Amino acid sequence: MLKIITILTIYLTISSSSLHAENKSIDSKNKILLKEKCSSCHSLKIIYQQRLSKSRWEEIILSMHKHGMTKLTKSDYINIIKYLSKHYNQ
Amino acid sequence: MMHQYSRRNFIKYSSKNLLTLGILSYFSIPAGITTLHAHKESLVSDLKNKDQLTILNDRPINAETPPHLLDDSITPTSRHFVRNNGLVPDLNVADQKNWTLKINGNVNNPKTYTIKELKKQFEVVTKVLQLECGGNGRAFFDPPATGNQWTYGAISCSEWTGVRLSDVLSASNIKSNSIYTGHYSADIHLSGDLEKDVISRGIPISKALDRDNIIAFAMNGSDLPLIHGYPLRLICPGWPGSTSQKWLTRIEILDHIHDGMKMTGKSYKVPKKPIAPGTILENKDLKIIESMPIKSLITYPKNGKDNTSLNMKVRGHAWAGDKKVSQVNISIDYGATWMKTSLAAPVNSHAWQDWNILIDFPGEGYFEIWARATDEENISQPFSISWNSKGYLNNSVHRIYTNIKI
Repeated sequence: MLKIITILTIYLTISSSSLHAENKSIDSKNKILLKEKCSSCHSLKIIYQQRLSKSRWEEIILSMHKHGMTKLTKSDYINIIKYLSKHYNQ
Repeated sequence: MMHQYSRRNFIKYSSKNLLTLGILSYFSIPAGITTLHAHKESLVSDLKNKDQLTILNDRPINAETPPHLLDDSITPTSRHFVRNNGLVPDLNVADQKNWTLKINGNVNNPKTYTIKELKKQFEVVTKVLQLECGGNGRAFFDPPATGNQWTYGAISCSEWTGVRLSDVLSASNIKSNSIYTGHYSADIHLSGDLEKDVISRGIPISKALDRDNIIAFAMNGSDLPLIHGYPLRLICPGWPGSTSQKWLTRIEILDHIHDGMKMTGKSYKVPKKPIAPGTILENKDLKIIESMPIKSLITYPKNGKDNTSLNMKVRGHAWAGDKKVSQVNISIDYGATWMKTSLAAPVNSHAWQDWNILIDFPGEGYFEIWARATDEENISQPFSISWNSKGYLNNSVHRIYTNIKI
């Protein structure tokens, strides 16, 4: 019984940490994406100053298209919004 | 709205400011300033001369002055805030000798002037004028508003030398159906697209003919620094700073409200009707900001400074857009009682007004000092923010704290 519990614990620990690592790598990929898409025009400092809801971030990204930002692919848009509303939420 | 005045939040903001200030006084030039054109050296030297400003953004460059560094009656160039929407133009373009200003549009007599011609043909005047960013105080909005998170320091009152806008417009003989100006400049859009205007704001003709508006070529007795609009800029005191176009090249007279960049969207506009905090309105429900509201700042002592005596000198400035300030009152008991300060007259119209008071504290302890100004129409600063999504016109009372320890 103890053996089973030990194996199960080890299994769970490994799988949760790899899940964690995966999340972390998605997050850092999204950060790179944000940098690539936004900092060609302006410093990321303006982003770091904001604390906004997801819907307001969506509004802002859409308004950036009007300011000359190259239109984002749907997946880039989703990933950037995900990153912004995770780290710069109100 | 009460959230803004919780003590925890107040201290949080105060310590954040102190921390930022500490870091920035060490690194007086922000790292990683990048610009499109070959004017980096001059730009960096302009910034190097900025004394302990808080850098909010480095592309475009935006920096504000902590309140205790705004203590002078006339704001030194080194302590004047920096507000940019785009990139500072190349110095090769911003050439004083070849620079021209066009006046055209709905006029009988369109003109083009060199700076030399402006100086020769019009009376040169020097005035002390207050200039405040429409978004000054945005950092305290709840829910947060978008844009640079200015706290207190996007305000100045420097001495500007130039010719009167009203004289220059009169020489072009404006047609009688004109209602607005449109201002154009040589700064560069962040996208690098040279066809795009960075910002092109305007003002109603009635404001444009006010004799305090200056087409300026000098600031505090020297040529304008590049970062403040060299070689020519507008100063429209008392209105949002964005109407004071830097690197000014052209003023177009219009028979309709100007539709330039940052005139037709949500920028520099506030709700027509009062709204609940967090409400997002459509453009048609917004109105253009005109005169800035009554406001004051405590510039001495520095926020958080301990005092070892029961007496303390407190001073600062107050301003009211196009209007005059009639009184400034101080409270050390969270607004329960007020003391009238000694208020100076402005050195000229549209200059801010200095005030001071000697406070007698009742004993030791933690005190907040609140300043509240009232304008000549008996309108005072509010205690809370009238919320709008872009974070404009926060003129709520300025508060600092002190510990009295004898």
